[in-house]
Amino acid sequence: MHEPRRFSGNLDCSDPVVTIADRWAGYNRRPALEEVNFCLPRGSLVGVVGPNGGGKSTFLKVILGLVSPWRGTVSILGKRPREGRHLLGYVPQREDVDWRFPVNALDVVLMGTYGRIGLVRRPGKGEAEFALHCLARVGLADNARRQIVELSGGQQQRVFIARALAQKPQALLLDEPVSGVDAVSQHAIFELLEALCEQGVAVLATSHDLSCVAGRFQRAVCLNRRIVAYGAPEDVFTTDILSETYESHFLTVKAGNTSYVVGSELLNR
Amino acid sequence: MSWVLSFLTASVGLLLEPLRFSFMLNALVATVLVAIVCAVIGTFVVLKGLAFIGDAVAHASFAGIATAYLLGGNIYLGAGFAAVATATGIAFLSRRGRVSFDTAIGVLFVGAFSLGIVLMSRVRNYAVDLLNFVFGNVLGVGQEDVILVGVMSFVVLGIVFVLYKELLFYAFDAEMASVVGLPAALLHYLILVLLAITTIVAMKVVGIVLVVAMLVTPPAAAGLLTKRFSRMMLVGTFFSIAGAVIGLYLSYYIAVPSGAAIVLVDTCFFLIALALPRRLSLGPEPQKAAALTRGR
Ligand SMILES: Nc1ncnc2c1ncn2[C@@H]1O[C@H](COP(=O)(O)OP(=O)(O)O)[C@@H](O)[C@H]1O
Ligand SMILES: [Mg+2]
Repeated sequence: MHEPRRFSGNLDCSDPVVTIADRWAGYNRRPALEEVNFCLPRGSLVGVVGPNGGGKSTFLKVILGLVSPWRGTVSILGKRPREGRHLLGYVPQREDVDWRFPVNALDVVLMGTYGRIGLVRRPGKGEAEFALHCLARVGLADNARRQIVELSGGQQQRVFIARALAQKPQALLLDEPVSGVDAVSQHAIFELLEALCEQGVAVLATSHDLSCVAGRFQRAVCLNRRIVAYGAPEDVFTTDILSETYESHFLTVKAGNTSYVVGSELLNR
Repeated sequence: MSWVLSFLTASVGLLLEPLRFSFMLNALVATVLVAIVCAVIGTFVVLKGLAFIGDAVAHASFAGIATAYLLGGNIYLGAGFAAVATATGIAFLSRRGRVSFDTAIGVLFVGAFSLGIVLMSRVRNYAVDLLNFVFGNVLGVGQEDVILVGVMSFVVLGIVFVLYKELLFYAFDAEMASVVGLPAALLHYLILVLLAITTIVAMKVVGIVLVVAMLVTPPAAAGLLTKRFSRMMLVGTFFSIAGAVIGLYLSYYIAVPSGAAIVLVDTCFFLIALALPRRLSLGPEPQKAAALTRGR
């Protein structure tokens, strides 16, 4: 029916945390994802790129079972999303968070432990200590009692990463973790994600910064309703694949022997 | 010295005087209970932006009240049924996300309220009784009403106490709540059903038209002064109780409708909280907070 998608390189998928087979999903009868096949190996660092509205957020939500699927399967360590998603840490898109909500950083991180605590029981001293430990891992131990609205964009993002860590996740799904984040926080976030990968946590992050994905991630997914390509960034960031992904709304800028690709979203700004 | 004493005796006298009447005692107990429940549920209403739904549920329950009157059934059952049906209907529509939310609510609640008015016009003799529900008549609260309000308040507050951590998480971040394994769909319906019960409980005291003010105003005032969710709830409850008591006494001494008096006192609290210098208020300065979010 559809021409097969391109999968570049020899993708090793022997030890996947998440696998997706022929998943379709959408909103109000309009498809947002078509025919998605994917695997997220343990300890890998995978970036998802694509145009605005290309389905990047939906891709993460489908894995988390937050969008009801039309067909196909998602498996999280052999379980269905609803049974297995507590194994996944999730950092939502900045715009989806109510930053004015009256909670402090520690409150937010504690929420990551609620799934383990179970219904009705309150978090105790052990949970609070663990939450503080997670805040320390993202370098925010001194900001535990600050309201989230008072934190900078980068600090807010790191609080949410700390909450995901408090879930003790097998994989971390982050929606645009570095957009609108200062350079220092951006660097700190990537250091942390790389350290997590070394400990065997799989990381899947969306981004609309192609050069950032090219420089920092082991693998890249080019997504525009379908997965146009999945592989090492140097294999998939070709003019062909990128123009198919961005439907020609992108620019290549050459400086010396490095070429920089500018996606449509940056052009629109 | 002696003038202080006589002043105190006089004010205590003024406070106790109305309570000689059992109807005032009933009214005071019912109003304070309603004030507490409204502030607790209202905190969620303010933070989740549910004010419009609260208003809708209150108005829609009027159809249930009128139907109960016509059929000779229990008023509260009728109102409760209509309110819970509306709330779950809205919850269902909003989870589907197919219909524009505001439009659905607007259509649903004005329709149901109109149905109530049409039904009411069929039972002319009871029209005054029914109007009490529209504008509230706390002085008409009887012993059974107090017991009912007490039981309902206990149930609502009990549920919020037991599921506090779940409701807080859901209110802050519904998607994440379901990811970590909390029953998000259940919590979604639960908040709206609690809201429905609260509006019913509050109806006899402040009336359908004013319920939403009692839900929203005290927590909103508290939100201007506090930073933590729990404190917002506590301070909001304090404002709500104070507004209820002051409003009730005002209505007794200067003979104004109790519901409107309570809401006006609440509104004063809100305006005072709004006017307090930022230095005094406990919340972040809006401009500074906005600058922080912008200046990454
Ligand atoms: N809650 C929603 N209801 C209806 N349509 C949606 C919703 N969320 C996303 N969409 C649509 O699905 C498509 C993919 O959106 P999204 O996954 O947010 O893309 P991206 O994150 O890549 O910008 C877009 O066309 C968007 O309009
Ligand atoms: Mg997105």
